[in-house]
Amino acid sequence: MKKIYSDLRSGILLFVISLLMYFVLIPAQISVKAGKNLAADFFPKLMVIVFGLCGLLLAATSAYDLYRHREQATKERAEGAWKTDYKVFLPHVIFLVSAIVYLVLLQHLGFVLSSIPFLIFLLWHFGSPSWGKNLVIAVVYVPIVYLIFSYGFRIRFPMGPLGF
Amino acid sequence: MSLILETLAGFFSIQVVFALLVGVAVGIIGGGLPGISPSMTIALLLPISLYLPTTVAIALMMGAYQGAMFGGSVSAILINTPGTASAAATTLDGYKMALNGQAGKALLMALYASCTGGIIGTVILLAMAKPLSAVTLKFGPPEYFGLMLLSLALIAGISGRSLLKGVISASIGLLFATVGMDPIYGSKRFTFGNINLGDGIQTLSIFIGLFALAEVLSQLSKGKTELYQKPNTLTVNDKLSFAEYWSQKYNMVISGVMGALIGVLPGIGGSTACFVAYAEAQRRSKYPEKFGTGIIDGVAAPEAANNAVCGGALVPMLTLGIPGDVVTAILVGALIAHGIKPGPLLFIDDIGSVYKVYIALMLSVVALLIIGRLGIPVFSKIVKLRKAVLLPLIFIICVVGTYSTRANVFDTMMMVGFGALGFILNKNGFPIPPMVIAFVIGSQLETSLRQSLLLSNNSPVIFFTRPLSCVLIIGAVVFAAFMVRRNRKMAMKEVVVINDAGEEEVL
Repeated sequence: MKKIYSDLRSGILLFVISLLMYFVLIPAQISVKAGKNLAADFFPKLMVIVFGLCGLLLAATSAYDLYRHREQATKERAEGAWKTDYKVFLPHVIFLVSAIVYLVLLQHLGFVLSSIPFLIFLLWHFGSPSWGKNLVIAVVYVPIVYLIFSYGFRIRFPMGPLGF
Repeated sequence: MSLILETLAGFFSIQVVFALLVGVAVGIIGGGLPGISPSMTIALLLPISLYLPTTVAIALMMGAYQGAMFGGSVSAILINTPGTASAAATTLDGYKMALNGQAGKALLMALYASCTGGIIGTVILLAMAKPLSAVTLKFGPPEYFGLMLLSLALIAGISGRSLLKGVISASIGLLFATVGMDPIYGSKRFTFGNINLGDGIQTLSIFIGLFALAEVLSQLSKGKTELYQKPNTLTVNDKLSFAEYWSQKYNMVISGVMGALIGVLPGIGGSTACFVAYAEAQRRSKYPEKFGTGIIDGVAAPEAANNAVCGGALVPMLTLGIPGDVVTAILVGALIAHGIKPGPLLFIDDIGSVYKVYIALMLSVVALLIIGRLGIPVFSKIVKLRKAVLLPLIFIICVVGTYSTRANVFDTMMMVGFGALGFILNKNGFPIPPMVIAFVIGSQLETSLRQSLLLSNNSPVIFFTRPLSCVLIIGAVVFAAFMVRRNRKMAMKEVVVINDAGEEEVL
């Protein structure tokens, strides 16, 4: 049942996104010159139509499935089984937010200075409990990656206050 | 002939040999670690390959491809967890052999069978690629559109249980492919005024985000305790005799040919090949009842088949420009980045690059033999690495890999965004491979569709008045219908249970 509810939500969301894309995003983001045959917005519009119709179909088939199993659905709805427990995604959100913060800091602090503390945090976040071990791993690993890519492949990393 | 020799000579340099060996070693490690797929390994190697000369880069990627296909068997045999889907059948007898104190024998059999399969795959590639490319030379825009449609039809084969979700995933990939410059009139599309999007979305941000980061995120769902667990492995100290290897010669050749031919068909892939080969070996065996109890026949068949898939999968990739699976989709990206455009014209304009791929694939088998033979004790230890340590290290490589293409943090931000998108889609049952394949072929599909319609004053009849295009479009419809039927059959055989975490799990 959880899957059916998830599909219903996904289908509706995709259909709404396709409408927004067709009527708002495409006209705003693609300039079409008058008189052009099969203009630049032809293919994106075609894809958005396919995408929207599939979303609608997904929502419709899920709604039909819910109708077929309406007794079970009513029972589960009363028990709240259709709800998604968003708390389980907290580690993912923390990871993604910390990654964005890290990428912003990377531009100001440089690769080594920003990556070492971030890696220590990440190791802990993924379940490595010993801060001492995590520190050693980060202090050894980050400079090795830096040396390989900056000297081996001549990549210019953002320069921090220390010059690396 | 002189060109072949000239190309071959280019492979006898320290850098190329080193790249082959490193590629194989990284491939084995990537394939051997459960949760690190071959596509993820090759996606992570892609940014490095961009800084290498073409021959060295091809050697690195082909080595990794062969290595990853074998690598899956290491964890399959030692910890009963296939490192790749292609090694799933190897667990059936491989792990039982390891439990019986024959882990070394199973690993060596897997290695030698992989090498034999690799050679057979290369031979099939050599035999099929040139004739097929000669046919595709007659293609114009409508035929190219038919061809692209055929490759989209393969999405039906890799969409799992829901074709609808596969089509949605593919249309998202096609929409991402439209970002940047319009291929016909040159107008900007979906750039949001950002110059970083002027050339479209960087392929690496998509590949690494959707394969590597999405996988890191999905592993995070397992929880800290499970990620910190160290897998228990069995000891490796016994050997395989030549007589034992030789006793499997027919088994390996038949399985290899089957694997290579299955590999040629887009969308089928290594996991099907290894199970088909396993079932066929059991059917032909004089002692079928012993399969599943720990016999080398049950290791030789799937391993020969899954490495033979490498050569087979390169046939549609090189001749038609169609990536048959996600690994070849990434390889297409790598070749294009090096100025090599897979497709029928490659055999006319740049045959030297075709020879490079052939030779690299052949030599990667030799490299696999050397690295595999010397490295089995080391790889056996690596599969014991804790994911809690491994996954953060991989994320740093993801960051460096995407940053390195244009020395641009924007691409890295995009990679994080695609990782999150891949994770969300995966969680809701939307398959990722169709999106990636659609992204890779998107630009060509749009160009051929619009060119064809412009040629015919917007009449779609042009696709049905040209015989080749008509055959390809009908083929696409038939192929999609066949795949839908197969997926339905598979879905009917599946049993859905609720696991301890309260989530639905397919048995």
